Amino acid sequence: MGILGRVFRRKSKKQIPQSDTHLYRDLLTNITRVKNDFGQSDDLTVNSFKWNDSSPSICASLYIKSLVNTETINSLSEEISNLKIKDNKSRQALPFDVLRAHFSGVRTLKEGDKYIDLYADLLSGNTVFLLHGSRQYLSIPTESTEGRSVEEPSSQTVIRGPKEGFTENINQNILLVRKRIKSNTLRLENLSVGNLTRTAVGLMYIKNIAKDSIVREIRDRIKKIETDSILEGAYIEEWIKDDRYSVFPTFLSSEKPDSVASALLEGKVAIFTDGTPYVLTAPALMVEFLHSSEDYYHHYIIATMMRFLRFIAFFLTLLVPSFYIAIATFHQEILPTPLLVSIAAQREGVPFPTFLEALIMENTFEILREAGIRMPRAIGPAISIVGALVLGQAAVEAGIISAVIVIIVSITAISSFAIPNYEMANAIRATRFAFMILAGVIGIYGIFIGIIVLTLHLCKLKSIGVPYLTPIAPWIKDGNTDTFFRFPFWVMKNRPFGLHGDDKRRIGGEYTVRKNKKGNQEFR
Amino acid sequence: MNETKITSRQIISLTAGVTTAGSVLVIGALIASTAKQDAWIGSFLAILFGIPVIWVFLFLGRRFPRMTFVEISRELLGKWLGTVVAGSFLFLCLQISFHTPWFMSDFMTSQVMPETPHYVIRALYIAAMSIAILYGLEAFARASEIFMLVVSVLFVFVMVMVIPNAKIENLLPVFENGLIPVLKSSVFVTCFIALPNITMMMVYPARLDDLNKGEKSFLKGYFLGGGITCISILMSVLVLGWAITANSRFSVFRFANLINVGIVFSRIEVIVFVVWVLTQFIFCTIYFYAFVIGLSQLLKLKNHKRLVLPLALILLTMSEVIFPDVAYQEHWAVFTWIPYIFTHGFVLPVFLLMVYWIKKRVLKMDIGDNRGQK
Amino acid sequence: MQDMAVALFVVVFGSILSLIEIPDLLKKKMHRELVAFVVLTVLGMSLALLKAFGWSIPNPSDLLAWVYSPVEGIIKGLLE
Repeated sequence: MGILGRVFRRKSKKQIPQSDTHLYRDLLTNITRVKNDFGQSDDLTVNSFKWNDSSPSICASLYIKSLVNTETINSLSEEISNLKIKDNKSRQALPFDVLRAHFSGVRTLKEGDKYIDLYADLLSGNTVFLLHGSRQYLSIPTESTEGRSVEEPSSQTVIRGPKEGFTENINQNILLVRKRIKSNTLRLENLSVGNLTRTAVGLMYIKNIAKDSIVREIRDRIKKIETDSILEGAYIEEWIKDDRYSVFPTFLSSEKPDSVASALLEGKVAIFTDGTPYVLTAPALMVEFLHSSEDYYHHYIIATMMRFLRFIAFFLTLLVPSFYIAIATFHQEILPTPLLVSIAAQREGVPFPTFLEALIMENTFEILREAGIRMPRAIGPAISIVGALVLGQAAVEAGIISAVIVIIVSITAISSFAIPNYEMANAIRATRFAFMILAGVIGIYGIFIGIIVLTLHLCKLKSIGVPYLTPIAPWIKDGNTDTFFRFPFWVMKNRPFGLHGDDKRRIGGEYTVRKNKKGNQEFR
Repeated sequence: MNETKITSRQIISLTAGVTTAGSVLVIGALIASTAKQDAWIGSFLAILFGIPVIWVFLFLGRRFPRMTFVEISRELLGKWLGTVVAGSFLFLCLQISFHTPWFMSDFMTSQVMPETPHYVIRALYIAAMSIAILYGLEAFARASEIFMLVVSVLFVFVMVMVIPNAKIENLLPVFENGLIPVLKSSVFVTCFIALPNITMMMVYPARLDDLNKGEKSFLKGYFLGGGITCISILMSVLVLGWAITANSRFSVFRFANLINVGIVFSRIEVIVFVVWVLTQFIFCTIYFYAFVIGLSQLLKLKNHKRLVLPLALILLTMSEVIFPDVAYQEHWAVFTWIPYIFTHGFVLPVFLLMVYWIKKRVLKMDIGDNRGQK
Repeated sequence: MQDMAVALFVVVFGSILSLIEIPDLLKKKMHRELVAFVVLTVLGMSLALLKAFGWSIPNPSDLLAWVYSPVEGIIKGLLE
């Protein structure tokens, strides 16, 4: 640049205070600045070293001890000492050029000159090199991959099927899904959300199968999130949900890679969040919350049976307590007489009206359930004995509640466990209480109005613009091969649910084994 | 008005709901007292008589796509006359919105739960209707798909269950009194099943994507609703005989009582109750929606949802006022409702049609959309 | 008694509704909607109160019956 250049540079130095954001030339100033900004944290390790005896430049390496992998650091220092020795013998070159030449082949090498970027790199577990006299820094990834290993998911167990579950490391999770979909159309986009946590969020979708508009919408929504922290996928879900107030989940969360992979193949977008083993898929439809990945691993008739059971369980857990309250309070004539007599006999000494009784028992069960989540393993059996014997049996014998209500509450509770997705089960829990209140006040009419309003609410919900109750309402013509019945694979010609983008057909051929067309004569 | 879109399948369910619900209550008694045991032929003919009426609706819909009935009348008749005509139509919609909560509370207190105070039942129903409109037409149309699915399944179930009780001799002798009573009764029935579909004109052209499929869906929905009515009258006569049917308020409810297939529960008519509640809900929500949308179009409002809750308050009070007692209601339904819906459901659209033709052919004015003109 | 309950409910609900909606409508400058809203709410509340205090409210069904009274004879004849 010459003299003129230096003059101009000096001038610009005076006009714009670059000292706040950009690195200095002086190594000591840089290091002091970094140490101050980190509050003299003991984690921050700074090592200065001379490049070699012939060159007067002093280099420094910085890293945060708790975030780096010790083995990588050790191998890094070995490489650098080898480089130093090599460079000693050859012509002098700037240390940074040597490092650049060596590292930029296969490893990602980042350079920059702003403090903010330097801090970001340090906090991601990189090692940063500073050189006296240079206004730039080099950073090399050395982050540690400490964390849980891949184990069976705790919340979603299957009888047949893969038992791998996601872990808290986002790269490992992406690996688990990439292993299953080996196609170049599987796209991954990395975002960073949260001002303080800077959580790594990954968007994954299959290019032609997912609708472009949906992908774009999700991407825009996530980019617009402005908050301090994203600690779990649920934070993202709350920020980008379509309907702010509804209890019903509109994002499907899963801990199993095969569920996520099959969702991606249906045209959904997967949202990975660093730090949690739960991966969100969007858009999610209501029927999917009642599906389990096992349905595809068993025979289709069995799977259909199990699905029906789950649908029945859904209605049972929602409506059984309210129907009991309504019938026992207002419409006793519905029951056949022997049953009515026995129920009346049981309720003879009970001091509470049916509504209160049901409310008390439901609340007691919910408390038991909450206690069960948090209790240490050692006391587990004791609590179940307490729950069963004391609350159930003894309360009935003491005449505080009737035996029928214990049966009702157990049916409700067991049915709620049959619902595969925990969020949906919780939503139903909340709605169940509303139904009980309606039943207690107005009886069966209240329940019907409640069902009508619930249906309206579900019809209004949308998940990223897709109506919640697709493919039932609006009825997609061939989209119902996978909702109530699980049709065999050779019937599901198109991708289900009407969510897909361009690529509609799933299979090319037909059922491969036909009686007359089997190859060998003896197999016919 | 935001651009809500309804699929043609939802048109089927909405139309079927309106057609069925308009007829369930008084129809059985009315038609059986006139046509006696030929009531089922009368209802079948009623469906056929309704086809020209539906055709008028479809024709107007084709010429003025994307416009609701209120807008069509203002377009054809000019600002003042069009507003008056539309206002009269909207008054009809308002009346229906008053009726259904009344029917609900009357039915519930007489048949199912005598001790409940009337206003609670009505208030809940009006609340549900308001929620339906506040959630938007799209959501309501989707819900109507589900409702009609449930209604069809339950209806078939009840009808099949009651077949053992059917006595074919209740249909004989056929045409005992000649054709005239049958024709008379069928015209009456048409007033209940076809003409209320005028309200669909507030929904049908304005919100549909594909007009051709929409026309076929309108007809399909009408036939579905008419079929349900026809079969229910048929079974009612088969099982109860025409005399009892002519004298009972809720004949379908009566004969569901007779189902005896050894099932545990003795009140199977709850299923009929469900069918009735669901179709009535579709019916009155469409009417209420038509009123809200029409009123906001007349007043040139941007957001119709603001009016729903104050109107709901008015509904709560007025739905008690309109029919002081059951005898009044039954008299009114025959002597006032029939001419009322006839003027608004038939005379009015035909009048609009004639104005359209005059303006088009005679005055050679360029109005309306010529798509699909054969 | 029932009318009093209805009237009370209508007045309370109407007031809460107005408290929420009117500032909102003013803020959004939806003047036409505001006028319609106020008119309808006042109408609703007054109808309920009138009924509760025993005044008889004009019945629109009566009005319609009167309008169509000439036709009554025709229909009666048709029904025979």
